This record gives sequence, structure tokens and C-alpha cells, in this order.
Amino acid sequence: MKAYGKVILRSITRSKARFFAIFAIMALGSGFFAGISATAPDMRQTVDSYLDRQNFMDVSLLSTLGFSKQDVQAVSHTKGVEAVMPTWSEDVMSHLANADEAIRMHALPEKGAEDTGSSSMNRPVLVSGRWPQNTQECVLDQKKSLVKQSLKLGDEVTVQEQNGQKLLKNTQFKVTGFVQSPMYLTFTLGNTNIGNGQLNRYMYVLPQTFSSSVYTQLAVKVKDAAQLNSFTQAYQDQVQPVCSRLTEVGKQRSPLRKQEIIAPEQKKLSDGRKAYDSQKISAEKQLSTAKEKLADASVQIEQNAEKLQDAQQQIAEGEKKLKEARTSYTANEAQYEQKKQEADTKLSAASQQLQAGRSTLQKAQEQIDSNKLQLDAQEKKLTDAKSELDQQSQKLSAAQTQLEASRRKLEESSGEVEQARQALAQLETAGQGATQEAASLRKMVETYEQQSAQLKTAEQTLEQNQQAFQQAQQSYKQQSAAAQPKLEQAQQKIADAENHIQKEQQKLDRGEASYQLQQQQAENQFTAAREKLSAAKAQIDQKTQELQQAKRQLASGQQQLAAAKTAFQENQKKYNQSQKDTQTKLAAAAQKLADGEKQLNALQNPVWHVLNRDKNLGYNSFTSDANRMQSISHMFPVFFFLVAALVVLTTMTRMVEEERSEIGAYKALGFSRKAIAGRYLLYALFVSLSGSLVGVVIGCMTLPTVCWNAYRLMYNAPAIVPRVNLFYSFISCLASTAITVVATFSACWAALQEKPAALLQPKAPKPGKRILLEHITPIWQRMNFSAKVTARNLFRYKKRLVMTVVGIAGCTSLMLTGFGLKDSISHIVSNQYTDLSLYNFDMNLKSSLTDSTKAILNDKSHISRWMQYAYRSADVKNAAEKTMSANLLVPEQAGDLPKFIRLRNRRSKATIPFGRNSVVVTEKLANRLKLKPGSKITLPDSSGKVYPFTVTGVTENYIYHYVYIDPQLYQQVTGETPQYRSLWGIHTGSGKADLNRDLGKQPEVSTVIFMDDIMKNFDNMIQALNSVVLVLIFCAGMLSFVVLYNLTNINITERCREMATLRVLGFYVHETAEYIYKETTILTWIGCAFGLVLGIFMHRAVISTVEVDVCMFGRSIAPLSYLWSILLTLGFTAVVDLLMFPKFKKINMVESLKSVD
Amino acid sequence: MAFVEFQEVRKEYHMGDSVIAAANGVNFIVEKGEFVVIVGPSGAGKTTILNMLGGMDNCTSGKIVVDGQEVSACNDRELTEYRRYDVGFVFQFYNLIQNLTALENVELASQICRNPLNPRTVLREVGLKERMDNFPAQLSGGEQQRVAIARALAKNPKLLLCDEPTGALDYRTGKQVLELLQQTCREFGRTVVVITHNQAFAAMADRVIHIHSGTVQDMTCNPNPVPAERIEW
Repeated sequence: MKAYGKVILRSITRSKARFFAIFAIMALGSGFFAGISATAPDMRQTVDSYLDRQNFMDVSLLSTLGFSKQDVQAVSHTKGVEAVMPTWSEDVMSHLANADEAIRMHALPEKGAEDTGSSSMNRPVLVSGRWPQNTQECVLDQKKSLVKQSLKLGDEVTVQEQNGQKLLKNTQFKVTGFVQSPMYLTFTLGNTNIGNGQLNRYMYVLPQTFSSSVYTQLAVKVKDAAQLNSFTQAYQDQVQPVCSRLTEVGKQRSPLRKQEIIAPEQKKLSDGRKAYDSQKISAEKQLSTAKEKLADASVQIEQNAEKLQDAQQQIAEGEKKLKEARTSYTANEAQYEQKKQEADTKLSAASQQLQAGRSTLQKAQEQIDSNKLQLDAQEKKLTDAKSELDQQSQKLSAAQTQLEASRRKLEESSGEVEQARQALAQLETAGQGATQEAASLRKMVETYEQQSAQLKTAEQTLEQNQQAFQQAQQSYKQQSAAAQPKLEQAQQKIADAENHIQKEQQKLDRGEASYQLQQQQAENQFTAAREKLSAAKAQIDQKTQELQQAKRQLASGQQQLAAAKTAFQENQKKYNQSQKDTQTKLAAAAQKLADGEKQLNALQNPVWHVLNRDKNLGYNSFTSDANRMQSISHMFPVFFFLVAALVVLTTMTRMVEEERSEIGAYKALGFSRKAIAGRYLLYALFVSLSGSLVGVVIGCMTLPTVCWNAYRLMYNAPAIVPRVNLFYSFISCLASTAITVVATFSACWAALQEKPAALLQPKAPKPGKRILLEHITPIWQRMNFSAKVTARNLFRYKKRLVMTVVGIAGCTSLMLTGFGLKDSISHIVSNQYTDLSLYNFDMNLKSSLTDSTKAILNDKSHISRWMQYAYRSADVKNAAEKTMSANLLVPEQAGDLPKFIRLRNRRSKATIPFGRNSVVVTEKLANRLKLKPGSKITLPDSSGKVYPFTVTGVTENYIYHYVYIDPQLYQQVTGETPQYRSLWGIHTGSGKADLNRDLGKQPEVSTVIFMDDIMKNFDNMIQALNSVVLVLIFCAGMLSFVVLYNLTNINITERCREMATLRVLGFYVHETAEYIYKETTILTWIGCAFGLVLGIFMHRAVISTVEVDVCMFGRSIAPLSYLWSILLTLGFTAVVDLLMFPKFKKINMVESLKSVD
Repeated sequence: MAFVEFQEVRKEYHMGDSVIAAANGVNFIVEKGEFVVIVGPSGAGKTTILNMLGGMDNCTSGKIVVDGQEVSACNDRELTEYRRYDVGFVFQFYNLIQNLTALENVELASQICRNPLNPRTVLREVGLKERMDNFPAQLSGGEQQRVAIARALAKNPKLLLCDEPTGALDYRTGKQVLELLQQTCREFGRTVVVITHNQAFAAMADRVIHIHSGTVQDMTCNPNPVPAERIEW
């Protein structure tokens, strides 16, 4: 036995390539199988323990009328119920993150969210922050969906209760934390009957926040259900009977609950009836008093009207009088004017006469004056002449005096002169020496003589002058005597004239005085007349004013009257109105009372909804996703095992063949068949077991985590704790071992049947054969030599051909599936938002569109087109009563819809018409509900009332489900006008930020969403799926690697002799390698081709299995993905070829050719 | 200078710690166009000598010269080229490619050398005109060996090496093969080296080299070789 074991150990160490091939394929196959298969159970296990940890309710009870304490009692006493948690939840609206959002409010467990008691159910997990401590605080869901998380700790959230509900004590909450609730496993929270029908968030508050004493929900824990995995039948079996019992309890409680509600309501109703009666009486009384008052007012108005009439008449009379007075005044005035004029004329004539008199007088005066002047001039002449004469006489006397003086002087000097003459004569006698004195004395004598001469002349002149003077005096005396009478005469004349003038002047003065008197008199008269006139005028003016006053009074009187009339009319109207109002009010009150009575009478017994976990959206979608994962796990591993079986079979066959002579020797030595076969079986068992164990551990530890992490993009649940799933590991190891053992046994069975002698003989080489292709002469002849050789070799070893083709095809198809999966998911976004949606932004409105927003939208430089539509999420039901939630979309104008969204058949790309009476549903919805054009569906209106519609078309669509309905048809069928509160637009690309800002500022705009932002978000999310694709590609690559490695290895060892021959013939190493590689390459290509076809189908199958409900994954694979799959497969082939090349070098010609084969 | 020359050629194999000398100082020459028979008992080192001569194996020491080319100094690639262009091999077990027809087997060789002979002509000459399109499995041993010879000849080699060409054949077909080889030598002037343990073949050779225990025991030239059909064993 020791030797036996050694042999096995040596078999392993001797052929590492073979060992590796089997080990790897087993590890790969069983690891992949175990890993993928364990994924779904691991997911379920993880979620189940999460739900248990959070004490998620097994059954949720809802009632149309809520639950009372008695109801709670009844439920808790139901058999199988472990605990009941009465609680509240309510859907409210809030404006958050710049959009209106529907929030579901839940009450935290009574004993606090951390309480682990069985009656503290649906405990949320605190992700960040802290629990609320008073009724003003809340915790919100940790939102990871597309819209950015805009709320942070400490923010205020204000909510509005809808539909007249009043359950809350408080509507403003501070966010103290973010949570994750077991009730909401998916990020899609579900539908609500408020807002646009979509639930956006959930919120937990303290139970005290709810004021109502009636509970809205009962959370029920079923006894012994927690230990069971919620996704098992056992759990279902445990819960189902309790559900049935609770339904029964509901039926019993129903009438009692109704009674509880009816009793107080009935009392209220009767109170109301009483109040109505008393109010009716008082109202009627009020009305009658009002009526009386009105009648009084009417009488008064009439009286006042008469008074006014009289006043008007008086005024008319006054006016007439005034008119007459004015006429007489005008006549008087005219007269006065005339008289005045006449007087004036007379007076002016008199004045003129006076003037003339005065001027004559003036002239006379002037004459006199000139005469006087002449006289004066003559007198002056005389006087002048006299004064001249006087002057002359004075001069003469002066000259006489002078002369006298001169004479005296001369006489005095005559003595001197005599003395001088004497002296002279002495001198002359004295002689000559005295000449000088003599000369001066002579001179003195001469001067005296001269002066005495001069004096004689002057005396002469004086005499002459005296004579002339006397003559002049004479003439003067004569003249003066002649002039004197004349002068006196003239003076007399002048005096006479002056007298005359004096007299005339006096006359004139008298005339003037009489004129002035007359004038004075006339003026006095006129003034008196004028005064009279102005008095008359004043009187008239006064009268006119008075009249006007009177008129004004009249007018105001009339106005008052009119006002009084209007007031009266108004009062009358008011009275009528209030009479009517009172009547309608009374009628309404009566109606209300009647309605109340009717309602009360019609109040149906409440219906209890007993909802198990399957009715929870998150739980439900998780269940189906886990099931999908399970079905995938059935699909892929088949491949791996198939290929593994082929690999093991060929490898073991080769092993047996190689050791043929050894088997012969063992046989010849007398070893039993069992012992010989056992050797190979043990070898196979050892290799496969070790391989699959390693594979299983790796697979279980990695694959579930990778897959679940991809799923967690949509789930709010904890990460998987990796563990080795014993069941699947066992199955996997068992399967792989079985495969290996069977393959090994079948490989050595044939050899064991042969006689030892035959075994010791070399096995005849597989004879060459003509292949089918050779019979197609045209092709065969065109092939070159090596192609022929290759072709024939390919078909020589059919088992290997199949193995390689299957292996490579599996590899290619897996990679294509992986790449295709990525394409399908990533194309959702581009398909939906670039191919199908022509619009690139979406707006939600709070109210109807304002003009300023319209102006922005109509600006063609930014927005080429826009349309409004109504939008609501609703349940679509097909003829078979199967329901799916979809978005109901009614465009404002049916014709506009195709301009914003492409309606077309996915395959044919044919446009689907949309117009009058069109009802177009999206593809996935149609598939799920089995709808085609002509199918009947029912849709609810906004109040939930259901109407039938006929589908007219099915359109390509990837994200969410839509039902597009012609607006006219919708109105016609439901009688309801849709609220066009949403809007699609196509902006031209530039100025997106500005547009966002401008539109966001508009008061009625709730949200503006740009499609490229959505695309970006989606793309980020999808990035995570790459890990799954990578796993697939990696596994596929490993598969192809192992297959190719094994194949090439077998090829080389099996055809060693052939290779050696070729080497001996002088083939280079690379030519020899090519001889084999050519075959491998061709097989790879064939495998690739098969793989691509297979991949397309596999991709389709996988897509339809993994597809989530709200999306339709893309059905097409991108050309690049085909290319990558091919390239990677070829790449693996190339790597294997490269790894194998050294083997060709090592072929030993001498050894290979020595033996016979 | 002789066409083929072996000078003190040694070939040693290491078997664990011991060294076994398959060729222990081999010296001989062969002239161009000669029909040479190398005889010796089993295990004498005939095949080793042939392998070294044919470029399938290296010698440990010594010098091998073929047509002026020092084969013993060639590297792997040069040896491959030497085999490819200068040498034709015929083996005891034919070593035909099972998946190729007789013609294709010949073509396989002819397509890689410089001046190949027409494969059909060669096959016709070896008397396989009718069996050209048959697979080796469909041919008798003699026919297979003739295909092998045709394959070697089609390469138009300088040297035709045959390792026990009749070893797996019956007497009659063996004789036919020998005739064919002799004919090739005589008619085409090709140098043919035949390895055999059969002393009888010595009669038909121009030169006989006796090998014993890895050395040349004797080398004789036969001025009057006997035609192949006249030799008996």
C-alpha cells in the first residue's frame, strides 16, 4: 500500500501540467458554482438576520377606520400572536430639497428605538445623529437615491397633513438623525395617495407626536417565527395561520369598531340638528327686521324727493327775477353812460374857450414884455453914456492932477538945473579936467529940458481932452434931453397895456371859476348815479350768488337722494342676497345634516387589511431579487461543470493512454482491475477534491459579497458576512468529484478490458482519415498544404475539438454576457435619456405657469420647445386583474408628445402614432401585463375611481413604466381635467446654469431637473456593477486558460512523435509549434463564434432574470463588447501558446523516435 | 578532404553518477557518392553515430565534418538547417505522419527545402504510383518504408541516412528497400549511409564500417559491391 500511495504521489509530481489542469478546472467549476449558489442564501440570511435584529413585524394590520384599544386587545389575545405594537403612520407633504416631497411618518416604538423587547417592532437603525427626544424632533431616512441629500442634521422640516387628517400635535420637526428602516429595504419607497403618488422619504417621530387615540397600524409579531428564515416555507407556514386568524378577528371586531365610531357621531348629529333649528329661526327673524327697515327707508326717500322738487321750483323763480333785474340794470347803465358823455362834451367846449382866452392874454403880455425890454435897452444906453462921461471926467481930473504934480517937480528941478548950469559954466571955465563932471551936468540939463518939453506937450493934450470932453458932455446933454419925452411916452403905453391885460385876466379867471363849478356839479351828479348803479350791481351779484348757493344745495340734495336711492337698492340687494344665502346655508346645513345622517347610516363596517411581509415593497422586491440570483446560479455553473467534465475526461484518457504499458505490466503482474482502476480513481479523487475544496472556499468568500454589493446599490441592508455555505460546498465538491471519477473510470475502463499482452503492445496510432471537407474539391484544392494538414488534424481528435470549442465558447459567451450585462445596464441611461427622451429638462410646478416663466420658456435662444403634461403614479390593471404600478402621463396637447419623447417599436424602430384616442404603454409594462395594441386595461383617475382604456401601442422604454394617454380621451372617459403641473423642455445646450437659476427663481416652479445630471448620477451608480462583470470575465478567462492549457499540453504529449518527426525533417521549433498552434487558433476562432452566439442567448436569459422591475435593461450588446470578448479569448490563447512554447523546444527527437507508438 | 569525416568523436550519457560513453573516439571518413554500411551489434553505438551524423544529437567531443561544414560545432538552429537542407532520414519504424497520405508525407518534407524533387515523381520512382493517396495505415510496411525513403529523397539531400531500414520488414520487402537505396546511390550519386546489425549488407556497400563498443573496429572499402538483389541473409 505504501508503494501504491507513492505511485499516486509520483503521478502528481511527475506531470504537474496535468495536475494543474484538473485542479484548476475543478477549483474554478466548484468554486464558481458554490459561490454563485451561495449568493442567494447568503443574501437571504443576511437580510433575515437584519430583519430579526430590527424586530421587523411579521404581519401588519391596517384598517379603514383605524384601531381602538379594544382592537389591540383582541389582536394580542389571538392565538399565535406573540406581540402587538399599536402605532401610527401618516403620509404628509413637505417642501424639501427644493421640491415637494411625500413623506411617510412613523412612530418610533413606545419604549424607544433601542428597546429589544418583542413589542418594539420595526426598529430603525441609527446611521448618524441621535434619536429624537421630544415631539419637535425627528429622524429621517438616509436617502441615497438620485436626488442629492440636501438635508443635514439640525435642519427643520415642516410637514402638512393631507386630506383633512389631523393626527399630529406638531408639524415642525428638527432633524436629529438619519436612519435606515427594515420596513424599507429598497431605495424605492413605494406609492402613496398624496402628492404625485410617489413616496419620497420616511420619517420617525416619537409616538407622543401623534395626538390621535386611534391607532393607524398594528404591527404583529408571530410566535416562533423569528427563529425561522423569513424566506422559507416554514416561515410562511408559521405566519399564514395567524394571518387567517387575524382576518377572522378583524371580521368580528369590525361591527364593534363601527359602533364605537357611530355612537359619538350620532350624538353630534342630533346636536347639530338642534343647532340647525334654532339657527334657522333666528336667521328668519333677522331677515324680517331687515325687510321692515328697508320699507321705512323707501318712504323717507320719497319725501325727500318731493322737498327737493319744491326747492328746484323756487330756484327757477329766483333766477327769472334776477334776469329781469339784470336787464334794467343794463338799461340804466347805458343811460348813465350817455349822459356822462354829453356833459363831458359840454365841459370840454368850455374848457377850450377858456384856453383860447388865456392864450390871447399870454400873447398880449408877451408884447408888453418885449416893449418893456426895448425901453430898458434905450434907458441903458443913456445910462451907459452918462457913466462913460463920468469916467472921462474922472480921467481928466486925474490927468490934471498928474500934470500938476509934474509941473511942481519940474519947477523943483529948474532950481537944480540952474545950479547945474552954473556948475557947468564953472567947469567950462575950470578947464578941461573937469570934462566928466561937465558931461553929467550937461546931461542933467538936457534931461531937464526934455522933461520940460514933455510937460508942455502933456499940457497941451490935456487941454485937448478937456475940450473933447466938454464937447461930448454937450452932445450928451442934447441927446438926453431929446430922448426923455419919447421914453416917457413909451412907458405910459406899456402901463396902459398892462392894465388891459389885468382886466382880461380877471375876466378869464371868473370864467374859469364858473367852469370849475359847473364841472364839479356834473361830477357830483354822475358819482351819485354811479353809486346807484353799483349798488344795483351788488344786489344782482348777491342775488346770483344766493341763487347759485341754492342750486348747489339742490344738487347736493339730489346727490344725497341718489345716494340714498343706491344705498337703498344695495340694501335691497343685500337683503335679497342674505335671504338667498341664509336659505342656501340653511339648505346646506340641512343637506349636511342629511348627509351626515346618510353617511352615518351608510358607514360600512371597517375592513381590516392583514398584510404579511410579502406585501412590504422592499421585502417583496428583495425576495424576487434573491430568487433571480438563485436562477442565475443555476445557469452559469452548468457550463463550468460541462467543460470541467470534458477536461477531466480528456486528461485522464491521455493519462491512461500514456501509462498503457504500465497498466499492462500491472495486469501482467496480477493486479486486479479494481486495484489498477483505483489508482487512477484515487488520483482523480485527490486532485478534484483538493481543487474543489480550494475553489469552494474562495468562491464562497468572494462571490456572494461581490454580487450583494452590486445589489446593495438598490438596497438598504447590511453587508454580507462571508461564510462557506456547507450545503452548496458539499454539492459542489460532490459534483466535481463525481464528474472526475466517472470521467476517469470511463477513460481507464477500455484499457482495463484489454488483455495484458495487447496492453504491453503499443496502441496502434489513430489512423488518418479523409475528412468531409476533402470531398468538397473546390475548397480543398484551394487550401494550401498546411491548411489541409491542420484541417485534417482538427477532425482527427473529435473529443478534443469538442472540448476546446465548448471551453472557448463558454469562455467567450461568459465574457460577452459580462460585457453585455454592463452594456445593457449602462445603456439604459443613454437609451432612455438620449435616444428616447428628446427633452433635456423636466420641471415640476406648484401651481399653474406664470407669464414670467412663460417668457423664459419662450426665449428661443435658450429653449427651442416646451410642453406641459399631467403626471401621476397609478396602478395599471390588465384584463386578468394583474396590477402594476406605472406613471400615468397626459400631455396637454396630444400632438406635442412625439416631439418630446420618441415613441417607437424597439425592434423595427417604427414610430408609434400618438394622437386622438391614443393610449400607449411602455414595453416592460406591456410585457409584464401581457398587453398589446387592442388590450383592455383599467386606470384610476385622481380620486382612485377606475375607468377602462384600450391600449393602442407599445413603445420602447427603459426606465420606469408609463402610460401615455391622449388628453381628450382622458377627459372624455374620466370627466376629469388633468392638472398640467409638469413640463418638459428642450434647451439648446448653452446657458444651462442660467436657465436653472432663472427657472428656479420662479415662484411656481418646484423643481427643475436636467437630464444630463440624472445621467451622471446613474452612471456613477452603474460603475459599481463593473465588479460583477469583472468577476464574470475573470472566471471566464480562467476557464479558457485552463481549457487551452490542458488542450495544448495533451496535444503536445500525445503528438510528441509527430513533432519529433517534423523536427528531424528539419522543421524549426517555431514551425513545429505553429503546426499545433494553428489548430488551437482555429479552434479558438470556432469556439469564439459559437461563444458569441451562445453569449447572445445567455445574455438575454441573464438580463431577463436579473432585470429589476422598474427598469428594462438594454437588450443589445455593444459592438465593442463583441470585440473585447473575442480579443480577450484570443489573448488567453496567445498567453497559453507562449507558456507552452518551451515544451516544443524540449522535444527529444532521439528518444521520441526510438520507441514505437 | 573526405565528404564525411569523424575525428575522435565521443558521446557520453550521464546516468545518475555514472558516465556511459556511447561513442568512444569514433574516426572514419566517407567519400561522396559512396554507399556506406555501418554494422555492429545492438548497443554498439551505431544509432548514436547516425544521430550525430544526422544532426539530431550533439557529440560530447571530437569533430564531425560533412561536406566542409563542421556539424559538431553547430547550434540548434544550424543543426535544424543542416537537417532541413542536407540530410534525409529513413527510420526503422518509418515515422510517417499518420494523418497525412503518402503523397502528403512526401510533400511535407519537400515543401521546406530548397531544391525539392517532385513528390509525385519520387513516389512513382519508389513504385508507389498507385498508393499515393493512401494513408500510412492503409499501406504495408514495405510501402510505408518506401514512402519514408521517398520523403527523404524528395528533399534532395546531400546525405541519406537510414537507421535499420529493413528492421521492421520481411525479407522480400527488405530486399526491395535495399535495392531502392542502392539504386538511389548509383543513379543519383547520392551518399547513402545505412545502419544495420546485419553483416550481410556489407557486401553491397562501397565502404563498410564496423562498430563495436562505441569505436570503429574496422573500416573496409569494397571495390566490387554486390547488387542488392544478390545478397542473402
